[in-house]
Amino acid sequence: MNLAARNPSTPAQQPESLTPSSVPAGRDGSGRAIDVVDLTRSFRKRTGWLRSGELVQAVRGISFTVPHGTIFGVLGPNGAGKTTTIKMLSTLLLPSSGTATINGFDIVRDEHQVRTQLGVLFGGDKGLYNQLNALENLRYFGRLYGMDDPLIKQRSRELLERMQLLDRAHERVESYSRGMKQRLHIAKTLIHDPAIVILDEPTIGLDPGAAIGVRELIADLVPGHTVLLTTHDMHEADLLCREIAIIDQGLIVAEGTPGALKAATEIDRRVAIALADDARYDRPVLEARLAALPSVVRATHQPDDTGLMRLELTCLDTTSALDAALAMLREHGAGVTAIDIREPSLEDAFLRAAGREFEGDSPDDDAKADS
Amino acid sequence: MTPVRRALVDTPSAWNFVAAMLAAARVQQRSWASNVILLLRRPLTPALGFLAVLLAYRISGQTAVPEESVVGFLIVGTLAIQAWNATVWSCGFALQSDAYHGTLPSILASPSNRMAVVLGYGLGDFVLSAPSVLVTLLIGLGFGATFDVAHPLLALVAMTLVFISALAIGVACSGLFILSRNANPLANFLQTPVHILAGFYFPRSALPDWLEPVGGLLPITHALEALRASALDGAGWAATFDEIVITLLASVAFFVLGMWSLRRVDHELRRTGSLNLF
Repeated sequence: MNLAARNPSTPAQQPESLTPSSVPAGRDGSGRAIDVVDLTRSFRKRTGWLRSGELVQAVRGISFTVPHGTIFGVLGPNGAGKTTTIKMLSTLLLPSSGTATINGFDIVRDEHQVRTQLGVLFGGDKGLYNQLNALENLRYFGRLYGMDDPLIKQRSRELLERMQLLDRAHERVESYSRGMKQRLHIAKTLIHDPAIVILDEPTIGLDPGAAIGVRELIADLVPGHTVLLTTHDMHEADLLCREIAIIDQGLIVAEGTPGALKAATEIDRRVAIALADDARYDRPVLEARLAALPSVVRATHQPDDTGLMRLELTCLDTTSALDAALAMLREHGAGVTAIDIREPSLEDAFLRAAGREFEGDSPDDDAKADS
Repeated sequence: MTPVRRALVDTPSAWNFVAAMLAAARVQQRSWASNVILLLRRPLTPALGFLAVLLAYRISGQTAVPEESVVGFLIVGTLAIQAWNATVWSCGFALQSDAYHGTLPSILASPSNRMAVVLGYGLGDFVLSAPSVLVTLLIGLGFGATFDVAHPLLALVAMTLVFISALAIGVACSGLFILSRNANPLANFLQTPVHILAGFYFPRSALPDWLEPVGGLLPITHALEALRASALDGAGWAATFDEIVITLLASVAFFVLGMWSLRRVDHELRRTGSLNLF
């Protein structure tokens, strides 16, 4: 699948007009696959035998809802509370307070039912039996979900084919590349055809080519599955997610579609065009003509000491503004030497919401890493 | 609902338990089978232990223990040690090795019964031990061990009970091993006391009076006595009935303790968030 076609740099990567028949309604008929309300989790830092460690709040009251058949992203830097949230949702960690339901099942009271609904891909480069081959790994995890042999065989074949691993299915996993292992991880996560899939940093540590392949696989999971994706990769979240919750230091600091989050930054879309300086140009006329183009709000000349004429267009849509500007400049025989496009990004959204740059770990990262 | 999801809903839970246990056994077998050194070590370590203790007996001039020859007594004890090594260690390390492989979160996030997984690892090791048992018996014959088996089926049942009782102890300990995150030192620490208390290498009658009953609390002690009686003394069903019944009852108690502790451990791991701390 072509992800670029799926993501026309607008909020709606997944089809907004999913028909009711193509999206599972869920057990409780609410249309909500995951419902998280004011979830918190605290840990004590381990300091020694006798001293009670300092209390660290890894997750400090987060709430969000994931509709069926969509990809929802939880985006944040390392230590923001993403993995802790996932562990609570996948029943591996009890919340300190708050509630969450998976397909209508409570993560504390109905842990068994929650586990049957979920497929979870945990982060990290481990998680498979390296001495076993792909089929044996899938067979074991299929059994743990109560699948019988014929069903496992059929499903394994389908998944390995989809993951492009069928021809290596009988090789020990230890001989696989990191990308192959990650694809097998995804197959393992999907072996029992879970209604809801939780993916914790699925492309971390992958080379760019492998990461693209994994993202295409994730994109293909909807609308048949609901996907909760955690990532610290802005581009990945932007590309895949219909909605994103930006999490920082255990709190959701912003939530919405990628487009809405970027729009909320109030950062202008700009196209900067550098022209070979030519005295023939009548700069005020050029600025006025550029400013009159569709979707261009303002055109200004930027002083430059390199001998180039730099024009900056503030616009509503960079693509159409650039197309129109280039066509007009071509008519004037202008020589374009450089183009620079500046769009608001999720980095900007994070900066605006969290009040700091995205890079770097959360201050409490060390305390939570072991959880 | 997709066909796969429907099939899962329709599967009875008892079958799921057995299927998960057998699958875990297979994983254990495959993991072992991939390591030649571990496979070779399996029969050799108990055999070397047998030789060392036999040497100690001979140096001390002792050729018999009460009612049995030393070689036969030690060979049966060595079989019990193999059962112990196979099951207690595998059960104890079951989930810890999964933590090492990074597969533990996936196992715990599945709806499978943890007991099925732990039992499966023990079962896998149990099956892998069959060649080692044969090697031990051949070594015993080579050293002049004589067997007096009046009821082969009884001897087989007693041998199986030795493994089952060791498995019960392993299951009972697995929760503690997991929670402590120190399976290796704990299993090492338990090993020698159990060898002495259960009478693997030395007769229990050699223990101080106050210590002898402690060994009686372990199911493997009674299974071992039933095996020695049936394999070395030609004892029949009636003569070993008490030991077999005690073995079964004690094993059930240890299994129940294991189930309870695994459930508690599961809750504790989720409460404290110490799942990955191994």
